[in-house]
Amino acid sequence: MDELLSVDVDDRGTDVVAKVSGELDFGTAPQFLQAVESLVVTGRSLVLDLSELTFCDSSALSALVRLHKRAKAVGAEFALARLRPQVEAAITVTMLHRLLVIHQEVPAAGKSSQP
Amino acid sequence: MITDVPAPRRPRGGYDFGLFGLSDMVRLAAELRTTAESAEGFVPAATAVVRQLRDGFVDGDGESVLELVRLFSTRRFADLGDELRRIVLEQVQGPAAADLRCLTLEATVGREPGLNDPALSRRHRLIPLASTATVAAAPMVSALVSGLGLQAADVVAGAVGSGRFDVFHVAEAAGSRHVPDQEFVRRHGIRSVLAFGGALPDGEMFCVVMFARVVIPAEVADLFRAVAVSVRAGLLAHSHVGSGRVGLEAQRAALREHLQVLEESSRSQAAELEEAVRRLRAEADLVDTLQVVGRRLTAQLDLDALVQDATDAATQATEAEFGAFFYNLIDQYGESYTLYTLSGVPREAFDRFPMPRKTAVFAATFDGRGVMRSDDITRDPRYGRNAPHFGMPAGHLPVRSYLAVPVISPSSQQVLGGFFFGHSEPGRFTARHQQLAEGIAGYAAIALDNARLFSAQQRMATELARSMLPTVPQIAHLEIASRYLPAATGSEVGGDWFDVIELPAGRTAFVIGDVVGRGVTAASVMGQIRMAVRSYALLDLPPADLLRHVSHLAEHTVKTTFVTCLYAVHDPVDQTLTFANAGHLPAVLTPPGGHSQLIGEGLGMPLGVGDTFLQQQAEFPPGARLTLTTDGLVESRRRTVAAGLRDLIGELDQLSGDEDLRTACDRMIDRLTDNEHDDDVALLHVHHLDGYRRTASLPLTADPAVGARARTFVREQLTRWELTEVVEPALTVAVELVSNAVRHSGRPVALRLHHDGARLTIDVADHDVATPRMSEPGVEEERHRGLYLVNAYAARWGTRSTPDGKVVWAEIDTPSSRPG
Repeated sequence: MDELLSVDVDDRGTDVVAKVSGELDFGTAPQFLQAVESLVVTGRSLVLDLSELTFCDSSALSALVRLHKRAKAVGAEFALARLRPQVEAAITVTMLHRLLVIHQEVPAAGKSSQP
Repeated sequence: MITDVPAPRRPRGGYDFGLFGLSDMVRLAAELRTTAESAEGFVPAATAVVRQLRDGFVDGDGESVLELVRLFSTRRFADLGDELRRIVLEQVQGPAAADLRCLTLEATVGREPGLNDPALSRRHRLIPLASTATVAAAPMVSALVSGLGLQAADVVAGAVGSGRFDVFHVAEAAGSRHVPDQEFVRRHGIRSVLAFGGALPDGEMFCVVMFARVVIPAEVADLFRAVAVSVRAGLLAHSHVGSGRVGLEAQRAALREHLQVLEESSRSQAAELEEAVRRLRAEADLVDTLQVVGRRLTAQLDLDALVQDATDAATQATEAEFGAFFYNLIDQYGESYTLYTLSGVPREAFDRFPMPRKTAVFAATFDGRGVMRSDDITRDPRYGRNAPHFGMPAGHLPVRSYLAVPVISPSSQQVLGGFFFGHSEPGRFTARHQQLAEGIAGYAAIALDNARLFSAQQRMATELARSMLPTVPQIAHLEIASRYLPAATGSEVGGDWFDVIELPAGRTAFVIGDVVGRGVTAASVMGQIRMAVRSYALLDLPPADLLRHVSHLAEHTVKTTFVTCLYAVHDPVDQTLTFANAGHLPAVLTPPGGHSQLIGEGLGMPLGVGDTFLQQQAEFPPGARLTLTTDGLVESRRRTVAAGLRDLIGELDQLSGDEDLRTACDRMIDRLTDNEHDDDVALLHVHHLDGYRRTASLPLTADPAVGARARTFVREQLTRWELTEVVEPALTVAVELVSNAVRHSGRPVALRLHHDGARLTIDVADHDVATPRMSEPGVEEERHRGLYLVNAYAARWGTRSTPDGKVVWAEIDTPSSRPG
């Protein structure tokens, strides 16, 4: 499992940046959620750096929607950054780009919460 | 044609004016001459003649039809007896010259007693013919004299020559100015008057006048010329004046004349008789012709033969120099067009001319207004009225006599065409010719109607059968030959069918079936069943399930007949053939390099009867062949089905891969049916070709890493197959399908990849029967995005049942530069 997916969390104080590496599918999604969900409930902004995520399937997209809803419930910001083409295509095809906040780069510390 | 006409009752030994013929004439003439000759003198001879005439012509009751018969002669005043002289003197009221001619009533016989004695006739006893004026003043005499072709002056002068004179005939006595005593005519119901006479020696004459209650036909009156001559010969045996015999010389002359007249009469009568016989024989011949032509035409269903036959027969019957038959036909697009046949003239004679148009002359016929017969068409007011030719085009066969008869359909009253006959001489076509042409046109109309109806029905049946035949699709790696041959005998379409249906994931269904029976019913049932099979096939039902569904459907739609059907599906990925059979003949499977064998025997009952159908699977690798057929190919009157199937297997084992498949099929059909199939033959032959094809399979387990293994597998296979262009969508599709199988069934079976050169098929089998459905997820919906992704990346996707679960499949089109 470890060789398939890893999540590297960078706590910047005002917000948290989590770097997701590997492949995210129905097999690894539960583990991913377990690792990231706790970061959202703190109420601080969460940015997912997806520059090292090489694959995502519909289970992964479901996990992203779930995180988005959790963040919204506690009034926290949730954003994605540095999407690879496969991931971006999957998000676009499923219209999730209308729901999720997507950045080209990881915003500077403290900037992610600003609209 | 022989019609029985009852012979009219002819009085025995008597005569009938209605039937009076040549033999009667000869007999009567001879009788009268003998009677007159053997009498005791002139007056007794005259009396015998009138009696014999009156007694001779009797009706069915033995009653004479002659109301009154009289014989007059002219006599000089000097030759009269005393009593008669006194009458003359009374009438002329003065002295009478010795040679004053007096018309004397010599004998009279009638129905009323008062008519039987000359002495009792007041008006006609004796008429002095003092001058031409007297003759003119005596109407009856005048009429007789002029009627007999004499000059009044000659009679007065006693200058009547010895030459015979005519017969005087009044066919219709009532109202005739030649019969002055109309009161007598009315009272006695006189219909005709006939008088005849002749010359006596010394310029005297005699005449016989007959008043008949029946009509005396003109041709019978003619025959009395001979009677007149023979009466004259008889009378000449006696001295007209005084007593004793007359000179032999006069009698000989009279007899010679008598003979001459008889000969002449016989000659003309014989000629007429021969003409009548010829006419009757010709008529019988033509009636015969008409019958024969009619029978032949109405039994003919081949249009070309029919119209030529009709034209020839009609041209011959009308004695035309040439005849043409123009007839209208309707082509397959419903357009009317006109063709023609010719008789008596080579086709080249008309090649240069346009079709007859609706000119004033032709319109009457083409509009069906009726027959047109002209003794000289060039004198017809309708002739020559229309541009550009104003008559016959230059170089046209010369036509004077013209006869045209429309041909009108007895069923639709539509004008089907027209017969046209021509002759270069005027006045050639008679009423008889017209009748014959009309007769043949009538038969031709019936025959044309029949032929048109027959060909319409035949066309409909063929059309129906053809429209039911499928278009066999081009399928990669399969060479398919199909043949449908309607029965060589009979026109009714049969209920055989075959079908080739492209299924998802590169699979193909082959169908063969037979609706028992023939005709439109069988064909329409076949059409319904064929569509039912197609519909269920597109639902991708397994063969056994498909037949079960169709069988339930057939149970409720097909009442009177039963339907057999074999359904086989070829799957190129695992190279198998899966089939089920509803009572149809077994199929023949020929493995590559092996012996042909029957498959699909005894797997189920016919559609509409069977409820459960067994399903089997056989290897169908490249090189294998599948042959599906109907009983028309293997069963015949000479051979059982089993023997036929053995022969078919023999033929298939000899097939060489080098031969063109269609040619091979044709030869096979010819050999198996001996070129004469008495039932429809449907044949579907499939040859699985070697060719570019890639397949790979990965067994699946339900663990979290299976997605990753699937991705590695797909990436590696596609890289090996040089399909890197489709790796990204293939990864997404494969993972979604695997994900679906793992999460919903928990029992994934295998992931398969198949590339046929044009498309990549990815399918995942599982042990779950629930069918996945795509639903559009709400934007915050966490689930249900899997098939949405598959749908976005795959060209097609779907699912099908398997005996122990299902397969979800998706296809991605690959760049066409791939080797095919």
